[in-house]
Amino acid sequence: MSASKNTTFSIRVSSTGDVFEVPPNRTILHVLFENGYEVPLDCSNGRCGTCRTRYLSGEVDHRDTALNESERSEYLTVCVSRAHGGEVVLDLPAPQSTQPVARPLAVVDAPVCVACLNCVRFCTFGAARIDDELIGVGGIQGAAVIDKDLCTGCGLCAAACPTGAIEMNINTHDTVIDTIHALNAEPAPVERATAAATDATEDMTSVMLFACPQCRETTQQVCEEQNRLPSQQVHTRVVEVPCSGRVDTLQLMHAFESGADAVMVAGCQPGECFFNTGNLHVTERVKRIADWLDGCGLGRDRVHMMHLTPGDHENLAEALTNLSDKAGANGPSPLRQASAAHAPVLTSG
Amino acid sequence: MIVAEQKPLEDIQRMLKGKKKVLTVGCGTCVSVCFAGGKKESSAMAATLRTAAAAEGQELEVEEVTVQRQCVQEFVAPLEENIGEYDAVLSMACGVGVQTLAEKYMDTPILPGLDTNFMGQPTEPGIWEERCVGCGNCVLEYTGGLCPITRCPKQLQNGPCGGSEGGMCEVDPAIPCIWSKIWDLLDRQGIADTLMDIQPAKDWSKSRGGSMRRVVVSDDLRQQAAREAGERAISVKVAPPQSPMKRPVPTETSADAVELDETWHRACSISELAEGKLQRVSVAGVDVIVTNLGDCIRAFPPTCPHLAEPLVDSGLLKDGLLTCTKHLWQWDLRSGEMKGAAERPVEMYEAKLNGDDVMIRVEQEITYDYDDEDDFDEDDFFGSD
Repeated sequence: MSASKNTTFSIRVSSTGDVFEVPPNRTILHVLFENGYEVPLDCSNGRCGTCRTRYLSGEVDHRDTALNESERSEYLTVCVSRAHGGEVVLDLPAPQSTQPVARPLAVVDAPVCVACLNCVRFCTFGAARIDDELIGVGGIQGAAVIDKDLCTGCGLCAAACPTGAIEMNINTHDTVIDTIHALNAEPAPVERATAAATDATEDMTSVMLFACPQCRETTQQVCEEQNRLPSQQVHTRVVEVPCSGRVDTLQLMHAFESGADAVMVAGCQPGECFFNTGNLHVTERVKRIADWLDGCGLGRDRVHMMHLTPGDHENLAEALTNLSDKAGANGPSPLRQASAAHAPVLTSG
Repeated sequence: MIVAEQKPLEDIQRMLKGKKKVLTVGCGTCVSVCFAGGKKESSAMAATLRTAAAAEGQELEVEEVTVQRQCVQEFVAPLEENIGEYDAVLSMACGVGVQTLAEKYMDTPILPGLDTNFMGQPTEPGIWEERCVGCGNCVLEYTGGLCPITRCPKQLQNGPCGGSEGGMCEVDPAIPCIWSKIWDLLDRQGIADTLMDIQPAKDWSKSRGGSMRRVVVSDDLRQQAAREAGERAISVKVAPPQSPMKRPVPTETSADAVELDETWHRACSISELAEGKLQRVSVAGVDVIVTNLGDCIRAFPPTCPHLAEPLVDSGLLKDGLLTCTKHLWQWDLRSGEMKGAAERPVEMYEAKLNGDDVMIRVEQEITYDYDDEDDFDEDDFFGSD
């Protein structure tokens, strides 16, 4: 990453002719989203290259670690790259509206914040701080605040917040929990049920997999493939999260409560996390959950933390098979049976 | 800060054996910070208990709520309404919180979900260490601000024992010898020789070991008067906890389950609506006054039905009774009943809480007809400007 100082420059969108100024404390990404232009995002800090955007002219100061030299002649990452003065012309389609587009951010509900500093400690981007002007829990002065311009939307702070004061603006806490419940309530596709043996959905092991952006593609491909195989008595449901570190104990427990036989968290290899430490935090949480599962009588083998190298289909498939075998050996989750009793009955054959 | 940790699950399950309906009560202050009993941890405990019960084929309903500070009676008062529904309450607070509930709600078994450990500090993320035992007679003045009562296993007050080695403790070699640290710190400040001074004997009568201790701050006359009358001093009403008591059972259409039709509009968050305050909001372009009576939300037009006085200025709200101070027209906002000099009812918009959102139903703006001169009588001008 370049150490050069930020200066003001402007961007022009070729399709619309819109010209916007990018001040030193803001990025192209901030300015685009504010004006209705949406680009796909994953890391928002120059590591993934998801937000790569073609540029037509301009002297770009590339600050990402995602693009190689030849890519840089054509693309820039809007999240971190800049220019020293002048104008950068971007090749973007016209937006549907000029209304600001929301990008994933953490927000604080100050009256619930106990100013415990967990968010400040967990955030590796320096976005969280305690604002003395805000009134926290019990009317006490001082509560957390998240700097929008520094927040990458990873959700590590929301997972670390013990009071629930920190929320993600888009995938809120309740949305994630509802998604977990809704996914587990869905019966396995009919064609699978009919293709497999009788009472297929009863016998099939139901796995819930939390996947971070780097693991997303690999998990999707592996799960689709496995879900199609009639010989594999496993049905995997994938919950996409902005970072594996966003997964907290509550989400993991709700996955089991809503009937998953087994739960896997797929995060990056240590040191590879887009947000530095998310995969390490969740590893510890998975250990805690394993203890709780023992206490619940479900058995600790039903939860697994997978440190995945993107593209490593083989290891993921093996880990999934291992996990579902172990879970299968303990029998289907009694919670799934309980919820299946209320679910619409699937007639097989 | 008070530091606690969750009891082992099996202990909690043993306590709750045979119970059918349980409420977990989290605490939003000290025990939140140490990941033991805040909203998230107590919700996770509730989910774990439900999961465990279902796994064992037992019937157990667990609902969750979190209060700001469980050690204060006022903050747990809002639980009164529902607490009778539960076979037991699992308090996720320190021992003080448990007892606050136990003394207030004597008909319900109150059980501890946490082991309360000590008063301490986070020394690094995820690690909390004891710093104070509350001995009632602080000696930190002589010891460089480091407490030998708490941090020396032998509670020595006259320097280290003979077993301190390399600055580490004999009893637990993983912790520093606090006397070694005290010496180093005073030496750094050039006042290590003060350790040679003879100190008066420590007053242990203020420490644990006798009867329950009590601190009285007597300069508040209201407190004194209340105490003399045998009442609890100053009681303050607080807004009910924000966390939902019940998690709706998700269904396939859970996303739509709480959807209200398009005549309902969000006015504000309940957290922005202090109890008993008249708040003027604009909903779908219509000016509305919304107020939180603690047990219900009321919304009505911004002007008095009498002479169009703006009620935000002229209205006085006390215990659900709205008074327009101009001519003392009054209404009971809960029942809508006219009181005092009122000759017309106050019209209301439907209002309710959806999660944390205050929702108001505005089909069309409610306006009063002020032209009817028959409504005026001499009283109306009494005392007015």
